[in-house]
Amino acid sequence: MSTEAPLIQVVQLVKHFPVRAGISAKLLHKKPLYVHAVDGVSFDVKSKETFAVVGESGSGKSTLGLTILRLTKPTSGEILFERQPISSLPERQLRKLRKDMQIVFQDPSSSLDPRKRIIDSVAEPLRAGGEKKDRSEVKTNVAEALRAVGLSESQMNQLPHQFSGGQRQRISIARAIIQRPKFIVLDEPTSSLDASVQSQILLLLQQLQSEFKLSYLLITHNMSVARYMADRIGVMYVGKLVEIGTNTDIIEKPLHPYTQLLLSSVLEPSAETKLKHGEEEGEIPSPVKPPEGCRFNTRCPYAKEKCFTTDPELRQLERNHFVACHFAEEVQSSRRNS
Amino acid sequence: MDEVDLEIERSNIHALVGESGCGKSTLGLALSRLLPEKRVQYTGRIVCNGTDLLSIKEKDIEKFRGTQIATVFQEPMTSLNPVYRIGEQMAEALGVKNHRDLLHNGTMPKPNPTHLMGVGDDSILMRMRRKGLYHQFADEVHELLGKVKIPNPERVANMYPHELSGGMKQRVMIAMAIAEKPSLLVADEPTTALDVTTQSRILELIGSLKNDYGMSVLLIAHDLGVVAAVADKISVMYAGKIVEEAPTKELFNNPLHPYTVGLMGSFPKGRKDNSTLKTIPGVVPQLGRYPSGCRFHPRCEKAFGRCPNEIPRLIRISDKHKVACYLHGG
Repeated sequence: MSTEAPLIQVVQLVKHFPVRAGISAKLLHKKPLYVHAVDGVSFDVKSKETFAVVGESGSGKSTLGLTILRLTKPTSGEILFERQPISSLPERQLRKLRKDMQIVFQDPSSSLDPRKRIIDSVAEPLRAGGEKKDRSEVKTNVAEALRAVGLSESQMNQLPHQFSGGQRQRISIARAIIQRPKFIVLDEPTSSLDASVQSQILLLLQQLQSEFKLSYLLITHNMSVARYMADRIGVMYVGKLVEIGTNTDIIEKPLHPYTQLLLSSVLEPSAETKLKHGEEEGEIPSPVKPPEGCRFNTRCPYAKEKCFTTDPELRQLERNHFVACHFAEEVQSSRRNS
Repeated sequence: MDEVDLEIERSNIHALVGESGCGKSTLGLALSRLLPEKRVQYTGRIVCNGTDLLSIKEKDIEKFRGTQIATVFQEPMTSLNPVYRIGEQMAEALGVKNHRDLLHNGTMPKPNPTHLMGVGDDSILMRMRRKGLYHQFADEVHELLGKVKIPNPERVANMYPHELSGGMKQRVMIAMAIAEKPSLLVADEPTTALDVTTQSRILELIGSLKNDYGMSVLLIAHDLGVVAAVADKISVMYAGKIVEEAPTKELFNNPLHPYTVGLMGSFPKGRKDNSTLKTIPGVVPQLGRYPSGCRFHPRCEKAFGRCPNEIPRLIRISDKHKVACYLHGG
């Protein structure tokens, strides 16, 4: 592991959304409720690294991505981009940083304007960045970006509906890389795609990463995608990171019971695949009222009294391996024995 | 969809796999004749327990839906009516069944269409009727919810769909589908909208219901991993045709069609530094704009002279394995 400063540092990041109160709650002066989407998350993303955030839907991973890019303002905590704190930077100054940080969303059919030609969609970041460029310069930039994602520049005057889902995702990737950013948030980039197209896009992302020296924050619910792409993985559950480690740490030596649950749910296409008979029937609790103590206690097969009273801190167990579980050591040894 | 031959054995889970746009959902709908009859042309036969469903008049097909063939769709949220309680919706389905039984025995005159067609769906009368139905069928509703392993059925029956998680909603849909003990359950991507942890539980449920009821399941999915876990037999579909069919073990150990091989290779199995991800070049052809000859040949690395010109038939190459490819007979 290199000693250079990380590209992105996230420190105790919190994002709460207020729940719109009904009229009865307002009249009765009830305490306002909040969705605890991100609740004290700290990690960093190094240069040229892929950091994957995995978790079920409702774990807050997409909000985390949006908040890091300051597409929504954090409630508290700090984000450092190349050591510069950006959590309370005014919009004007933020704009200069925007060209270094981009995002690719899950569904390319809703993130591309159906009435805009491809050239205009892909060139959008240039315009938003305030750079004055003439038409021919824009055209060369767009052509370059399209070529980089494996499309032909002759397609730049077409409309999104003329492309397939995989091609549309390539277009949104072209839009993300046109300003040569350093950091891209990939929010479920392949979830709406077919299996054969998913692998094309994953390979493309990998190739772009080495070509443009990109850092990725890969948000996904798909453990096999995370395993394939990531250098390090953070596991998120109801607004908190419960385990952070290198790819090998998380996949081969998972410490948190939730990570183990996620891994055991992966169904590989092979003759040996069997459903694991899980005892836990529970589902992810509401982020409006997260459980007291450890948030996983409603589903955890190892939960003891302490788990219902004290919220476990993220602690270091191995060199790069952090876990938020009171009984991680015991969990690990009992897993080895079984 | 074009010249599909499919045989689903009793109390078996038969999976239909393919990418979007390959016609697998259309096939699922066609089985219970849910496609718009005016715009669709059927040729061939759909034989269920000895009856050809295509020879039945459209108004009589109602008898078969639910009793012989029931369907569960991908998105439980859009299949449930958001403004009625779970119990009321389920009771309505049971009410339709009751109605149909009486009609069938000839003890009841023609059904009043407002009851069946949902005319005046949100009138006060309909609301009251639904409440009444729930009271009438409460026990059956609770029993069904118990069968799909929903804890605390009485409470859930009184909830609205938005109060339930995706997995719970899908369980409710399955409960409604099995209400009349169908011989075939068509499950169209039943777990695609769900989280991975919930997915395993729903698949487990479908497997155990199959055993309890001795029913057959046609599991439609795009994910080979999902079907690997539960299916007895797998048909792989591409551009409206079945290209390969084999028992699960045989298919994964010995995939023959280049499309099947490509699908399996494009699943990210290892890490980027120690494994290579394979891809299938190109995209699934658009509906109706299929290439000539073998529909897979433009994306196939092994295509040769015959492939663009002749259409390979699905032939049996061993006891249980069928494939439509000139590399293997054809």
